[in-house]
Amino acid sequence: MKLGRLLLKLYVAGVLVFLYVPVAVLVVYSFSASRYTGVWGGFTTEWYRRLLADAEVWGALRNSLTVALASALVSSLLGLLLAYSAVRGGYRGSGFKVYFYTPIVIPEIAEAVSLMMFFYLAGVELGWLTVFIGHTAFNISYAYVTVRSQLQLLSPSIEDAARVMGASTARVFREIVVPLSMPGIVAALMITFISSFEDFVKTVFTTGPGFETLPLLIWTRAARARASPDLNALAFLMIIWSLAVAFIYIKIVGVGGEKEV
Amino acid sequence: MKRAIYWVLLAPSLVYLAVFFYAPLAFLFYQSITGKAGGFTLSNYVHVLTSGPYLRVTGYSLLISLTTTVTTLVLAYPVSYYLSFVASRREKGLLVVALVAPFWVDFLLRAYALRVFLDPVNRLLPGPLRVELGFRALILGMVYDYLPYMLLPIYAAMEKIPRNLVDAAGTLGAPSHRRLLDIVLPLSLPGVVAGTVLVSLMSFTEFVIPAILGGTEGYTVGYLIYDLFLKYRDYWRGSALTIFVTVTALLAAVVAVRKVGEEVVLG
Amino acid sequence: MVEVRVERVWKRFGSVEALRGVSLTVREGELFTLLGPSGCGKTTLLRIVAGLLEPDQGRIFFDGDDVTGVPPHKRNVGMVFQDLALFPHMTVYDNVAYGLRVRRVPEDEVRRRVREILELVRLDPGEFASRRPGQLSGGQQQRVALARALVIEPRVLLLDEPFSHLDYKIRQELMAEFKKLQKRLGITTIYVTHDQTEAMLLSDRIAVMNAGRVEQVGRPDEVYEKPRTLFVASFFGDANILPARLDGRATPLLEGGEGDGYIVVRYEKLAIDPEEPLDYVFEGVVEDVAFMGPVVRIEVRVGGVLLRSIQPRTDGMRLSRGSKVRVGWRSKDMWVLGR
Repeated sequence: MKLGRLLLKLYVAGVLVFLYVPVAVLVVYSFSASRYTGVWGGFTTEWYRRLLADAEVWGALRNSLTVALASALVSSLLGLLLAYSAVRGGYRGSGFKVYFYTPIVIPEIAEAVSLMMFFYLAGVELGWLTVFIGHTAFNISYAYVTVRSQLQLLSPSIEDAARVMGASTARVFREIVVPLSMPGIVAALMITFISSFEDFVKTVFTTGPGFETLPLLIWTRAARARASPDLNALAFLMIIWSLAVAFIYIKIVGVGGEKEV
Repeated sequence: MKRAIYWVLLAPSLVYLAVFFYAPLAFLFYQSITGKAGGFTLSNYVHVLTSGPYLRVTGYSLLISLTTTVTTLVLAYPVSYYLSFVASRREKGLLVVALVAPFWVDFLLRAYALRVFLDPVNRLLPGPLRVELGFRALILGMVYDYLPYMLLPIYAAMEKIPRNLVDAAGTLGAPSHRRLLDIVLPLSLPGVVAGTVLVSLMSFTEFVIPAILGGTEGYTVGYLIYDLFLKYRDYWRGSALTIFVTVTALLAAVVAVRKVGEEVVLG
Repeated sequence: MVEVRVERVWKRFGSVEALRGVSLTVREGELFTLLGPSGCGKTTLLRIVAGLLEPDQGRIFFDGDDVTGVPPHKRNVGMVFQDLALFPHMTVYDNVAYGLRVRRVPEDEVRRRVREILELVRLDPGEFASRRPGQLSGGQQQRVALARALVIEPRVLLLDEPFSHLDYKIRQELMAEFKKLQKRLGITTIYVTHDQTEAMLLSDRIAVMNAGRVEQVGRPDEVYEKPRTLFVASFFGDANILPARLDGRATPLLEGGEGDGYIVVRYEKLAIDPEEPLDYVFEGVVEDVAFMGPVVRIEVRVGGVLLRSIQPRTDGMRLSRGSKVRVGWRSKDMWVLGR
């Protein structure tokens, strides 16, 4: 018994090491003065300085941020309205479910290539707008699922109480539904933001010449050459950024959005 | 009257998905049954499903998907069990954060981190143990990236098991291994199914990880689709292959939902 | 002061008929209870009166005004929900003030009325106003919910099993208090419950509901003494219900067999070893004697049926299991119901 427990503990520790050590190594090499990974050349912040001076990185960052922000706002709003009408309107039919779940279940690459062909066909110039459209299509479903789980915790009689007391539908929505589903809305905003900010697959198929996001930049540089220290620095910054968002999310919403108000 | 309000709230999402999700898919399907010169044909599917190179790539992807799924399951199950049943409250809080957070970091970044990591590791290891870019590194990367996807549903299913069931088995005289076998294992099965479906489907069409870590052995279905569309511009066969993969995935998802319920599969 | 009239209301949910032609009148200022088992339609009817549901057919009148189709926020009713439905993100003060603010009552008047109503339900405003519902005990939450419903001076007060989640002691206390408050304010009140004791304790009149219909309306004592249907007899108060043959003198069928009606005898009207001659007397064997505080409940097997009797404790305690006894009742203490 005692031994079993010890072995299990070691096992869990091993998995944690497996998850985090590569990131730690990445950090270490991003501060190494040597051009080659695997060789320690002394401490330097040269690569980070180079990164800061790289106009291409700044441009990609701007693109990633604007697309992700816009997509998160639009998809969370739509997802909130959708979840509210699904939960309160009593839409439980399987057709309804299939319609809004399919974007989550379907292989991402299928969505990506179909959108690409669609844009070709429609003659739309590929760029910010097409990337935004692709991200949002997927994000609506994610926002819907996230907000819905929060709304389901909300007793319908709370809304009834407000209505009986004299509040109109719009007022009930604004003063009762929105504040009480706030954890779900925040969760949806964060999930959709990060999934858009980091998305590679859909972006690579729906972007046009001249529109580059950070994941695309890493992809092209990593594919063009072997790992390089400034790329290590950039990858590390992005990982840290995602982890930070994840920690904040878990702190305020919980692992699966289960924390109540 | 009340219904009407709900429809108004629904409409934007409904229309958005119709235009930017379902219409493109429909067009992709249309293209998959059309020849290069136009006209109806099934030859795209016949080619994709019978020609040697395609079959080899599909088979190889299946092998990758299977290996990834089994490995992540073996890694994730004991960890979930520890989290859910052994860890103290404090420990659990920290561990869950640590294990779930990587979920938020994109595959591309994690695969890249792993590639950087392999460099010095290979320098330390003796020849036969080295993980050079190729099948081994690829699987390592897949496991590295997909582990949270297996872990979360299993952990969620375990958390749902009422603790008094395990206690009840204990009062009935079941020792710890029997409690695990008779109570925890069957009741956590929905999570296992969910995780298995999720990981096997996603890893089957993965192409970022193979591209970064696979070296010369990185050619998978996902990569093939990528090439068909962006390199060879063979949209017709590309569409057929994509539709085939998609339909397979959706069918598997439907079967899983039927078996264990949507809540577990879709979170 | 408002009279509420419900006229031939029908409501269906999918294939379930929740209400099947319900009509009743709640008089001005009265405390009227809808009593019935779960699924009988009582909550559905309450929600229709509140305007939260629309009837498929039928009409609702407040003092002769047809309010059918008027949305809940324009009916001016106060409602206390089963789960209380306090707004968890607002303080006690904001919960109670909500209905007034929605009505655009000036803020200084809001302050005065909230204070008054909190004092009325015996919550110290100084102590409780700034707390959140989550920081209150069950009884205190209950008071807040009542204050919130009353502060808007509603035409009708509606309560849906409001005390069901409280402990026995606190429930008794709050119910007694609520009854006095209702009488003092003289507000027309409809109260929904499945608990007959609660209904007897509180109500001026009761409507016993079953399967979407009203079976009987009357004062608690009327309904208890003269149940009109088998359902009312069995649901409201405890009674022995014996299959019987009704031709000529009604005869209970104690050995089984198909009768054409029932004889109903309340537990407390079933005499054990009576001293004076009774209209119906049978020999039986005591199967169980259960102590219930001031009374004992005795189970006697007579032929194929089990009869129950409630007796004052002093008399009942002489008996023990296996004793042979005579049981009986007077004709005037029973009712006869046709099939």
